[in-house]
Amino acid sequence: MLGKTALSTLCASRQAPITLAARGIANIPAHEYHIRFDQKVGRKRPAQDVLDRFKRLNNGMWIHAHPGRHKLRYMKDETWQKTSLYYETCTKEQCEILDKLMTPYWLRPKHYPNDPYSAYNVRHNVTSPRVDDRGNFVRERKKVLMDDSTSKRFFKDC
Amino acid sequence: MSQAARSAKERALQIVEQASRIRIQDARDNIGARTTGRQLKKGHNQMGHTQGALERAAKPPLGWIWGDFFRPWQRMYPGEKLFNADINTRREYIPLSLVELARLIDLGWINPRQPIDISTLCTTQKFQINPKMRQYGFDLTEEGADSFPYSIDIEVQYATPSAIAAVEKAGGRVRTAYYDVESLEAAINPKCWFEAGKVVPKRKQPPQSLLEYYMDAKNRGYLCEEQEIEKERALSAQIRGYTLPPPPSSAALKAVDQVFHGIPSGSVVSLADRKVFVTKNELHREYYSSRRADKLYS
Repeated sequence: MLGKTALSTLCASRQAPITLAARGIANIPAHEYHIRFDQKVGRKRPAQDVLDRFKRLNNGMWIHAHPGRHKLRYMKDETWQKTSLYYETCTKEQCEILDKLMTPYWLRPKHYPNDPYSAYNVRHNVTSPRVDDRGNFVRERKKVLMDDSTSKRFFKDC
Repeated sequence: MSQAARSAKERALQIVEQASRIRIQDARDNIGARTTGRQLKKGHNQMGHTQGALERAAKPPLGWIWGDFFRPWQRMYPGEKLFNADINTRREYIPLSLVELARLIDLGWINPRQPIDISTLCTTQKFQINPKMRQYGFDLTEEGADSFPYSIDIEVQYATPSAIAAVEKAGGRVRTAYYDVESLEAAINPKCWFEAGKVVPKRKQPPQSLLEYYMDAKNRGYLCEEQEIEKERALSAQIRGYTLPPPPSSAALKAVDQVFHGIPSGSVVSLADRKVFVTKNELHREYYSSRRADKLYS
């Protein structure tokens, strides 16, 4: 009788509910944070929230999907039905913030064959400078041994 | 002497007798073994109701909206698996356009009379391929396809049909071939590979997703039969409306498991002696032979 009571007491104390801590700045989980230096790896970690929701094109633009595009579609009009499936580009401030949350691997221009986004990786008829302050191309890919007139003649991303 | 005469059991009992009792302090970490997190003070969580509180409050991370302190704006959008989910399995290729290739030949970086492959293109040091970042070779694109003048023998990893037609119209030959990561590292920097004393690797078979691409004669894959490629060559000339020049006096193609021209797989190259050492062991020779599978299955 005494042994059974002691055992039930131990089991009851073992299943006591754990108090959930209130969330502050120090309790923000790692996948949401802007981690400049990870203490295990010693390098910057990309924000996983950004990788799950955004895509970076080769010209620095970021695109995202529409919020709520799979909810209550039957109640909405035809224009919304069509345009809600589009991807939208981010604003300039959002692009800058997303670039800060990423590591250089994800900011690198990539070239895939049969890429569905290959037409959007370049921007046309933009009058801003072609190069940045380091002399790198802003919107187009680097060509090998190519001058500007030949590049304008053969490539369509100028 | 009494130390040697005692048995192991008596020595163990003596050790246990002399040991102190186990306390709860013995199970703790050493001092400084763990670091505590940042202590959250009252002022760190203030939203900033006044100007002074705004200046002294802890600043939120990037993307967080002021006023909604626990929800960043980058989490207000739905996830999309098409964006970045396949980044670890997707193969990236370095774009090589025909006008860049013609430019390299014009300026003397590449000899058009010799076969052009990854080693030739990487030796010019105009392209950087990093196999560790899942870059798998060159993609021949069709910029400059209308006026490509050279008759070349080129081996790339991916090629568009327009680029293939442009090279064949000029009298050249295109082959698409797969390089696995080890063969790619050897082909990118052969000097480094030979100086390290490594064996010239055997080029492995493409994975299942790429096998169909390299077995198709439309892509001029290196796993096709030569008759099918000749048929596709004539068909492409007929469809695109150009007359096919006489077939070039073709040099020998590489074998399906060969990395360098003229150097068999399994050999060791000595740059100091300018010699190629081929293996003599029958087991090694059988391993690096291209007829190994037939022998195993027969």
